[in-house]
Amino acid sequence: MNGRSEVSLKLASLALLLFFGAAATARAQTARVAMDQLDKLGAKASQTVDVNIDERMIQLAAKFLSSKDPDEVKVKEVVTGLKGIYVKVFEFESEGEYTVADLASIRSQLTTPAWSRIVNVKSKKEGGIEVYLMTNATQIGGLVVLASDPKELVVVNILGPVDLEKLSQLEGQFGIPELEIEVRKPKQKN
Amino acid sequence: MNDDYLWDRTGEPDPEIQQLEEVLGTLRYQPRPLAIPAHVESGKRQSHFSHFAIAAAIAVMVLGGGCWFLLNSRRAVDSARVPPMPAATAADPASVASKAVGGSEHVIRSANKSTEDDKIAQPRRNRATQMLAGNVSRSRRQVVKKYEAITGERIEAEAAKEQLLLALRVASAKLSLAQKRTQGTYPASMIRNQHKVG
Repeated sequence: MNGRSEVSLKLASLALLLFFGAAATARAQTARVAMDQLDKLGAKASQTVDVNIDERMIQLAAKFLSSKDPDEVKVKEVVTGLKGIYVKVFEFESEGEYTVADLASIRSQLTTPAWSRIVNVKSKKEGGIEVYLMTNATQIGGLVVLASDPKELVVVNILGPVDLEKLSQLEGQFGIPELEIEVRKPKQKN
Repeated sequence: MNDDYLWDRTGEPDPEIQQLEEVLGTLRYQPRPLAIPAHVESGKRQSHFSHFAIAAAIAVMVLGGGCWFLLNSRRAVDSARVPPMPAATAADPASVASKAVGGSEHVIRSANKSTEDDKIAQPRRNRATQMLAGNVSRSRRQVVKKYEAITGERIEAEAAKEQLLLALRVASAKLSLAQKRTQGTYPASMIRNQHKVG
């Protein structure tokens, strides 16, 4: 009886290890960043935006984007191939509602070699903006934008091949401000 | 021979003819009151039967008209209430089935309650009504399910589209801000360089 329970315990431990290992691997590969730990800030925030769109929802929304409207066609091209878009925005009435630890919980997930921080701007008045890209060989696998103002905290996590060129073409559409991102096409080597 | 006796019984009578008269005289018409046999139905009872038949025909026509009116009015009400139908269907299929046939089952049952034949025909009628109601409600449920699936998918897609645009709005705004601040603090745009590499 004791032998059986011992074997069962070992099997259960092995299954748990496999499960967590697979989950960690999947998370690392899909560029998904855990943001649930920030949900506690919702109670302090005066305004909260929480958008969670998985691949199925993106495909469903893309189906209902008009193929005749040129603006929606561009949006469709941008979201094509994306695996998910997750956004959290917390706006506070006063400063100091979130802590450095809250930001660190996001940054700690972006320390792997797959991620590279391409933008890091810090300002005491305007806050900081960090942009992280996950690259798989020659393709972008994910994007994280971490913007922290004294009264605002924004985390954007886009999964999949983000095409910044097409994203820049969304300038001024659907209330999206102009990005003014200039993209130089790589010169072809002979 | 004088034939005047044969015409107007004048002249000399013929003995043979007189004898024939006596023999056939017994069969002469004798006026008497009409005696109707007891087993023959009188005209008065026949008139009652025809009145009953007319009344029954009128009653059947009135009931038929009532059923038709109720059926049409219930169909109109049901067609106007198509979206809420699934809840009622899930709650009580029997009630929905009776509603689906426009309450004709209840009307027919109450109209024929007093007849003896109704006791025998009632189960058959009930089964037929239930089958009819079952078929109607089944097809209606299928239509409602299709309608719900289409509308549900459309609503979900609209919500997803709104969320998608909101997410793109936030993402592009923050990227734009990062780009502007990077251009102000760094000599070269790292986003541009990164994209060039990618």
